[in-house]
Amino acid sequence: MDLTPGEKTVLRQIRALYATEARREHQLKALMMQWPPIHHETYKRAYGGLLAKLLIQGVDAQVFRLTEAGLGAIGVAIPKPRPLPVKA
Amino acid sequence: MAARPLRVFIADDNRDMVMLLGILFRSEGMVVRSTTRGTEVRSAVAEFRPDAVLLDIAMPDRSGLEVALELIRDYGERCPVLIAITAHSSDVARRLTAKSGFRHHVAKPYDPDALLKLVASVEPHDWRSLSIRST
Repeated sequence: MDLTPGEKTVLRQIRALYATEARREHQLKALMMQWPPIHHETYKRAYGGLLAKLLIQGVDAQVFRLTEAGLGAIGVAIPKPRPLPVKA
Repeated sequence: MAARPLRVFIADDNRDMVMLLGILFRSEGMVVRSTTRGTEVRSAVAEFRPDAVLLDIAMPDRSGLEVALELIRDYGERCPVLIAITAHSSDVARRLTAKSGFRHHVAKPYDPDALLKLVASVEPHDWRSLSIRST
């Protein structure tokens, strides 16, 4: 998937959040504290780009959630469900 | 044997902030190195071997959280003391910096005397026989 440099930066910041706490949902506040004030609008647009590309989804105004594609994009391997044993 | 001067590394994309902190710490006899680029911190720390690393959280090329995680990955429990400098003082922000490996969280605007006292309280880091983990 093609990502803009801004989207790549924000995705890297999300990866840092995931490295801190390995869960899908994170506070938007925790992400935004990594944004320098002078680049805030640029990163906000990049965040919107990640939403549009379905790598993340908004849970509510304060929380976002990594989608499966988003987890893959930050390099988290998603275990595939084991096939059910076939009864003879 | 007299204690050696503390070695402090500062990373902040704001040049004025870097300059002011440099003046503050040098005035107390500390040895200071700095950068305005988050991407340079890892190699600079390996070379300079500081006792304390002050990291701005919101740097454009690499956030302070990312840099802290890199340093923790490199040095593990023997990482020099990491001090977060950020405009955010909420519980979320403090919890996040603590979980990222920062020992201290300093919210802007900060009190220079309190910051100086905090950095001066850092124990000199033992860099001998410390090898960086390969990544």
